[in-house]
Amino acid sequence: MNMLTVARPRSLDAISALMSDGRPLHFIAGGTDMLIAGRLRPKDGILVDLGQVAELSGISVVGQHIRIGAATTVARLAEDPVLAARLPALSQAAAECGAVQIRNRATIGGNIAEAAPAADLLPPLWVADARLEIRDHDGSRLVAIADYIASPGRLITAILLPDPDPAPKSGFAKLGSRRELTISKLNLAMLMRQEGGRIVDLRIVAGAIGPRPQRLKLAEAALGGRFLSPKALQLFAKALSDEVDTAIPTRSSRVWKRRAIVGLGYDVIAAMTGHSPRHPLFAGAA
Amino acid sequence: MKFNLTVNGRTAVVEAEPLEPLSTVLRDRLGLRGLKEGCCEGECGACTVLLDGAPVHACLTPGFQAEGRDITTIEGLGDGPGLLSGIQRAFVEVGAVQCGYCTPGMVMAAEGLLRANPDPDDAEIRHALAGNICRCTGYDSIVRAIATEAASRNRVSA
Amino acid sequence: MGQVHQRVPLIDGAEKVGGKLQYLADMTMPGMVHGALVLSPRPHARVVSLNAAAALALPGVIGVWWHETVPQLRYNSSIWYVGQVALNDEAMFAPVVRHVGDRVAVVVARTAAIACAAARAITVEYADLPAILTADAAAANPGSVGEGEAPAFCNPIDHVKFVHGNPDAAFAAADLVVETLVSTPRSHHCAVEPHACLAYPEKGGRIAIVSPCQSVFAVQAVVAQATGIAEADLHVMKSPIGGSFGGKAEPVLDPICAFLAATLGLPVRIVLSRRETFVATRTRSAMQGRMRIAMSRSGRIMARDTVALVDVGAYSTGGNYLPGSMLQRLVRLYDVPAERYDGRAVYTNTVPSGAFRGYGSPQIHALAEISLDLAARELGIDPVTIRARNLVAPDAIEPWQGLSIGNGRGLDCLSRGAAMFDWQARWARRRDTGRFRRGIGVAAATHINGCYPGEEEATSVRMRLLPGGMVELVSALHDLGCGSDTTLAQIAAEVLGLKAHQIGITPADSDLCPYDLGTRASRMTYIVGEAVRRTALALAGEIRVRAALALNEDPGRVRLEHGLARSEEGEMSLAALADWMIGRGQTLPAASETYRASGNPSSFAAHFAEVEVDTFTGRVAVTDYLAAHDVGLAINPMLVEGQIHGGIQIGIGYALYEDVAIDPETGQMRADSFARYTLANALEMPPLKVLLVEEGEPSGPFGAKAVGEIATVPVAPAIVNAVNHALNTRLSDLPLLPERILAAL
Repeated sequence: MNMLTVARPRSLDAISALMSDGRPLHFIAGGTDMLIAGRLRPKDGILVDLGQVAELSGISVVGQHIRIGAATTVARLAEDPVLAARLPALSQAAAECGAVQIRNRATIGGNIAEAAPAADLLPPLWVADARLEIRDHDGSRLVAIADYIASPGRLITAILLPDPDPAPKSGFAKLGSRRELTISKLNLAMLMRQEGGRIVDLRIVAGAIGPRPQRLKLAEAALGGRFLSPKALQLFAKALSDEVDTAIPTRSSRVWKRRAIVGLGYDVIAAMTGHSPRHPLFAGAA
Repeated sequence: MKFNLTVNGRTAVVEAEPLEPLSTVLRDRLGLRGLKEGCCEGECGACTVLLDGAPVHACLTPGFQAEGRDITTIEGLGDGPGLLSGIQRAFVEVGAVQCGYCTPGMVMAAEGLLRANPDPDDAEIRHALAGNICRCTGYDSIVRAIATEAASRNRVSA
Repeated sequence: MGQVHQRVPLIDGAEKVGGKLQYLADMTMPGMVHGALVLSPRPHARVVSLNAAAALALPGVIGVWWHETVPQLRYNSSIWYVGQVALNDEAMFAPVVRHVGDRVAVVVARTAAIACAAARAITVEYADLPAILTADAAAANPGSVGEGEAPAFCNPIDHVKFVHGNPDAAFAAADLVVETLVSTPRSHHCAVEPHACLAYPEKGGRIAIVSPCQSVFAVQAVVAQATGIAEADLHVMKSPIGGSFGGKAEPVLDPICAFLAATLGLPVRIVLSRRETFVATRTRSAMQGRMRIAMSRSGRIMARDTVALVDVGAYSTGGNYLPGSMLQRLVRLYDVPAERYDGRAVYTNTVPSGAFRGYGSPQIHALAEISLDLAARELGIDPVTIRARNLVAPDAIEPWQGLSIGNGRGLDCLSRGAAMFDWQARWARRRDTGRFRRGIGVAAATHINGCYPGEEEATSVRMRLLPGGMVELVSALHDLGCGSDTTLAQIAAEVLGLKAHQIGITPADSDLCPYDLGTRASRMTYIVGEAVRRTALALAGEIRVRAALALNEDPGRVRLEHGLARSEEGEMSLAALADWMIGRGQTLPAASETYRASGNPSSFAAHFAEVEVDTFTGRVAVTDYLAAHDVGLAINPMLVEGQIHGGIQIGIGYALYEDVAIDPETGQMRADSFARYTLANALEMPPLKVLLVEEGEPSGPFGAKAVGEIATVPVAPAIVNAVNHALNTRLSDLPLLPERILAAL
């Protein structure tokens, strides 16, 4: 008889054992996506609760990287002092993700695995070159986040972030129909370093301009290697708009997004460089 | 499946479907109908309860996952049998209640905030309420009720 | 004063905040079964066949009903009493579905979960019919939209034409003529409590209906018409209401629950999901309007020429009253010597419209107040000044129905509000040119107080002293969450020398309460409040007579205060008086009055908003807000402020994001959930300031008049005007989505 049974493993080894069981596995962490009214819920197989596995939860610094257990809640990410110092883009994205009730339940692994086009944690993870620790019945391995494809029976167990010293600057901003508890119509993460005032190692990733996050290399090139100046920002703004034109040439939202992305880009740069977005530096393209 | 839930300090054995949300478990199986269901998609906040002191949507929390955790519902807030707690009294006194349907969830979100941040400013209060929809009050009096209660708790503890 | 003009907390506040008040979805009964609806995915189609085999095979399923198995009685869900003439075009389940979300069938099962699963297992075969999905298409093709079902389903559903003065001459003589097109969205009430109903068989073959409704008598009338059950066999009780705003004024589920309870002999409950509440209940009608204003150089309105087209959706409901209601509100605000109005309402194959806070008023005010602002700009006149030059004076006679507006204080709202908002200094500020631009806007508004003269505005109230000293108040009262029970209790308590919580209010019950029109049309405080005041006066007289006997005193020298009957000679509590009378075998004092209103004064408001627009993202932040309201006298200033605050929340949404967004190609509703239909949450709301103008309305109880509906009326135009000020644009299509704002730059 087809029935959904529940397993509450207490270790990764126990999960591995379930993976060789042969029945379909449905992993559940916070449940904030699975339980939404109207969505199809699994009816048979094993519902694997990830909430009891200590190894899946928590943030730690391990050698040259930061390891985030996949079942770490978004609320934990938002309040973690290490992340706030090392990858503020992720802290900010976490702090603005859903509402407090969602953040207390939703997990970073779930946000990645559900892979909604507007998922707010993805752009910060992409700019940081995060790698995912994946486990399936073949064992465990690391994949770059950009190469990750969700598939049944495959579990993200941890997220590994490079942890260079000194930490780069990073930031995140999103736009939805209201300020909070809103599905992003556009989001943007940036990461960079400054060398003698020059912007270097710039990485920019936008969400909600395609099915997956997009690296914005034109915009990186427009600003990379330059000093922050009205002229550089204008080139940057044009490049951001061009990126949107390329990504969604036929969408009706293009006209709005090609301008809105400039606002987000300026907001993030302002935050990373300690300016207000109202600083005259950013007035040029207005 | 069968599991134990500790709600408002009392433990009960519950039999429920694996993906039955905590909201249904509390309302239909335990008769705690103080929490309301407004959307069942984590957008209105009417079903907010505290799980180990932190606000969550009961509609998006599988009931079995609350096993072993401390669940507080609106019924568990009062200062004693038949008595309201400070935050509840503040809501009534400053006019933060109108139709009352969002109120239990709103009060639980407020209680969760005050446990985590005893002295929130206006922006922090509004941030903490982002997940609770009220169609009656414009939130103004709700923000005031929470600020009033925070001030009162801080006076008591000072 | 003891109770009136006091910030008395809600008399049911403790129950609500304690989670103890039982709303419909919290009620259960032994043997209760659950219904789930099958809704149409098509905008217009014939229901050819329905296959319920898979649903019926599920354990716990009791039955399935659709148009072939329910009475085909046509009804109108907006009627208020039996015999009211209306376009009867709706059926519980009809052979033709007319909008996405229209009712196709109902499944009944032992649990709600089984009923939902069974509803999903039903397959329906549809034969599509041509669908009219926009008001333009409907207006362009007058005539039948159904199949031989006239006079229902015939466009336009209503056409109101009105001319006052000589508009042509005024336009010819004008110094300036400005024409503005305004469109307003179809918005949804979004009461946090979803629609629900419970019906069960009662003794004697009657059917009881428990419903979060705005009038038990309306439910009775509609259910009788829809099901064929005799009105006398329907016993309707109002449950606590988790918000309505007009959304629960029209019974949607009640006929089905009553029919099923009668058929099955079991209690039947239906609770809609959020999506069902969006697609299968009611909305605010969308409007497209054009207004031409003839102005003098000095800023006087010489004439207006208004054309309004409202989309009432798939069923008439009360939509044929909308063009007239809009006109009624339009002509009460400004002193306009010449007016021409042409208002039409049309059917489309979209979700029906119905009552929604203001009933046409937010639409017509958006048109009038945005248009006036743009005219003021062309004249170079400050928006406050131009309104001050045109607002009606107290006791003016409006030109349509010839009624006095009463002690209407629009000018006081405007001038005192402008001073408090520091309007002049803010208006003089240099315009921003950077990314973030601030602007301020104002809008004035007026609204009615009750249904006179359209309906017989008569309300009956019974009151009596109870053993223990409480006073029972019986009228068909429906507190929708607005606090009307508390307000009315304050009025009664004031007269009787009691506290509000000593007035026991019986929730509306069709078996127990005298007829009343219900909580609608801003009539609770002004109409029912006056009825309560008069009944309380009569009861006070009775009590004084009895107390005089007990105190051995002249009735004229007995005062009622602090819960006591007092004279110079002595005093006794009302509880003691009741005991004294009971001991002598006497009937406790009671009084009953019917109050018939003979006027309909206006309430006024002026709202002031400051916004900041991000010209990169198109996002609008409302940064400051002041609402000045002419309320006559606030029976309960705290509740009045609460009404105004809530009205502003709905209005900000109307201005900036709320739109159910029906796809003009497919008829599908794009924003059918709280995730996609944006409501202002706490972060979107500015701190709210309220200024109450309390100059007294002589015909209102203690001088009070209405505030509930008008609170939301001026909000959207005030915000749109502020955005237009910030950006120097002429935006006039609501809501002001970021896309629209950027396109206007």
